[in-house]
Amino acid sequence: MDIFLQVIFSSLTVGSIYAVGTIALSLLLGTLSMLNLAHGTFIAAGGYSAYWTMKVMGAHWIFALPISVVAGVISGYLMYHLVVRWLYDRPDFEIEIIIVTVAIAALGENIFLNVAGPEARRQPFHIDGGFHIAEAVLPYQTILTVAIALVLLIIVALILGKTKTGLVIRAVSQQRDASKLVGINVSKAYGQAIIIAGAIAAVSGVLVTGMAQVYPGVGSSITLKALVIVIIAGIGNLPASVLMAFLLGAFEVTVQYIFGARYGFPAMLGLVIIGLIWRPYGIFGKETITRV
Amino acid sequence: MDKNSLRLVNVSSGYDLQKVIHGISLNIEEGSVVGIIGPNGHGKSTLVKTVSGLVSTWSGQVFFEGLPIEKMPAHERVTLGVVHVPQGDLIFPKMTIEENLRLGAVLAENSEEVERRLDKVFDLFPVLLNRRVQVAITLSGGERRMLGIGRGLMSNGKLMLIDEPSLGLAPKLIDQIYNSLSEMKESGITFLIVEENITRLQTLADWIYLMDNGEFVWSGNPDELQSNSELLSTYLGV
Amino acid sequence: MSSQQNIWGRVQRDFWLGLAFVVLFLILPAFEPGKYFVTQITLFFIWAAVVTQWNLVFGVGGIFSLGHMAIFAVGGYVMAMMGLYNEWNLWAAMIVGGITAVIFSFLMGVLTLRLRGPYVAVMTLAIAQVMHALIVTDVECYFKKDLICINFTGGAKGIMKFGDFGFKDWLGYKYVVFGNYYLALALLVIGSIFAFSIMYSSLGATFRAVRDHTICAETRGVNRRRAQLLLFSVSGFFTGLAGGVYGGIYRTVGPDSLTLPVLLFLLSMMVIGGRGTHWGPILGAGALMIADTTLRGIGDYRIAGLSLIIILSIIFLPRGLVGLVYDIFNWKPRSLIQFQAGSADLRKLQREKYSKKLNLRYIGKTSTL
Repeated sequence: MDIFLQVIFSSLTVGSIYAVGTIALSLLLGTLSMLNLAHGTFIAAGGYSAYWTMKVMGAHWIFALPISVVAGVISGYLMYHLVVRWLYDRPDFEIEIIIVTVAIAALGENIFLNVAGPEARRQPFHIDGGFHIAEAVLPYQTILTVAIALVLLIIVALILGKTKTGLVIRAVSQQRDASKLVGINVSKAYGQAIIIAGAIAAVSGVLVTGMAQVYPGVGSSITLKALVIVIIAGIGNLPASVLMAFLLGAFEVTVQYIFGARYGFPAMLGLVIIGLIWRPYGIFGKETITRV
Repeated sequence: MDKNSLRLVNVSSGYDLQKVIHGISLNIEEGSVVGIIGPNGHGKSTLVKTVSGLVSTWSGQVFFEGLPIEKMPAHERVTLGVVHVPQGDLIFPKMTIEENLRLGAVLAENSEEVERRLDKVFDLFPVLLNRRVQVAITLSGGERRMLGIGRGLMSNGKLMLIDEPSLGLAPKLIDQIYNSLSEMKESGITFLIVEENITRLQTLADWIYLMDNGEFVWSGNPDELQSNSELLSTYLGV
Repeated sequence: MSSQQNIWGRVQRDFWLGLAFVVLFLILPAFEPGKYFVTQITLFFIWAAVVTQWNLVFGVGGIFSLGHMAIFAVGGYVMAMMGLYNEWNLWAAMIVGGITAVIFSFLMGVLTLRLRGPYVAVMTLAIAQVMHALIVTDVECYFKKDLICINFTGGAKGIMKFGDFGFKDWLGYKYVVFGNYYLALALLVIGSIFAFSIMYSSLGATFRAVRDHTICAETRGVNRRRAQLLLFSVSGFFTGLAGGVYGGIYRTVGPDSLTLPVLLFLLSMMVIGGRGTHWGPILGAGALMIADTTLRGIGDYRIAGLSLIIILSIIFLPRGLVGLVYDIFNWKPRSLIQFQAGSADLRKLQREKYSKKLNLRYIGKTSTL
């Protein structure tokens, strides 16, 4: 019974990390068909900025999240302004952005490495302890992460659904030329979407590093897993990504308990591959119809 | 003062390494309707896209109300009043009719103004009013055409560039569309219409250009065109 | 047809270029460039061979795989394991490695090619990462050799002592370096001949059609997936072979080839050379080997440098160095681009006759209303 409960709690923990990590990814992929392999850079930016705020500057924890948002916004803006805005209109954009974001991710990691050093540090923004139920522990940090994941989901839904910026982004994602013809600055829309994604990813980075640690490569491992989850969930379906995050997290944890830690991700990947053979557009995804 | 809405001076443009239109010059006076006819695939759509900015101008100048716009990006030209209703309509597929129309006025600051324009569009195209919550991708060809034109109106266009308004539509619908265009003309809007269906265009247009192989080879008023049967048969297979 | 002549002209050009390349590198060692130089060029041959196959798959075939190194690793590891555990002759083991790589590529293709382009990138990358993780975390002792614990996959330190190509016995210790050199050159040449043949074949044309007009091509009966799977599998052979050659030359096969720095290195070769072009991989590999060798000192910033090369290349030189060379030779200012009339047809001749009759060529007479 205890092991069962512990597996559930661990699943929630792992799942919440994945869930919070997929939101920004799914946003960019769904609206702009932009596979952002540099997502990890935003995550690391969030983690490091929170660390810097609390540990280095000695500020109160209440400043950590807002500062991380700023870090995310700046990272997002830089990525748009220096790179994406030259590429967004190209016919090969979908491929070129993958190649470019691989490079940006490596560059970002290298920058963090050279500036902050390779050591893994503890994220000061986290809550110790948890609920003790029977012999199992449900960490408070997990609950916090789940809560923030849901809040971020709602925020994204509100931005996309109720704001003008969101409307513009949705229009661009549906029909780019028509957007230009109603006066929408498509380039600016890309910038706004990336900045939003950056901010959200940075916040998720604070939480992710709260459970793991803050180190230069913290973003890349979670990015790959998050991407795999988003793909199996179905592109553009944010709630589905969050759901799959928990489900796959549970699966991974279970495999790890039974077979050992190293088999967790391979098993998860295997399951995803099988799922994709069955449903190539993701379990909750839709086949996009392009008019010939 | 320049009474011309649109003026093109020796404009050439195309795609990648292929020049499609060559040395195009034309004038459109404010409030008038100018038609461009000619065989398919010879640059009519490219010309319109060059004016609206979807295709960049290679050489020559484009003046809108005296202002040179050939280097302006497409979305800025819209703010000046250049509105392009493209061939194939390019609607926002997952949005409703009303959302599509409102997007036409996405740049507008004044919400009362937006409501006013919306009412005018619904007046002009009652079908759209009836189906205002229907998702655009489910619309029929004629409804899409009306949506496209309606959205153009929502952008408060002073110069409307319409690419093949009668394409793929039944005659009755074509009549409807052209009646609406007449009404719009009466309210002072300038038109540049690309058409294959010359019959209806002739009743609306004040001046017509014939484009062949990316160049203008003839221009005149509709009556001249009507009487010139040799021209008609050679170029237009009529 | 003129395009046929065009292709034959290009084949001839490529043939002569290739011949010049081969002759140059065949005789290079005679000029005694020094051992370090020779080993660097050997490495250039190997990476060029790998990127040639990767470019074939990625740039020509449109399979956006980021897991190409997994195939390289499979080739190397199978060879090493056969050499170590079954004590096979390394040449035979290398061939087996290549064949296993084909099977592996086939499986990888079957599993991932149903996805839309960009998502193939994620899945293949994940496969490579998983492979890396599984190898690095392999800490169980498979068997003990002289009290040393040996992991099945060699773990993080890799597999060693699996034999060698026999150059030492054959040519003498001093000339092992040259044995490796010519082996790698042979690998590159054969792999390139394969790649160029594909690009010039109807399969290559198929891929160009699919890449440029996917929907159109598929409605005409082109089975994209089957063609891609075939290409992916066969190119796996040469990639696996390259993994074997690399392992045999360096006498060790490890998980480093599956790490991000190597991926970045090879990716930058493909990108700066010119994605999907014929000579791009070789040009890119050469450029980057030169850069890497000369900039030895900036170790810490190597990754940053490679990243910048990739980013700047994509933004400013999207068709790579090959594209740059092509543009230099074919540059035409826009004003001079000839306006091409449409292809001949009866109506057009009619029109020309008519317009001459009426002297119609006044272009753009403005109307005055």
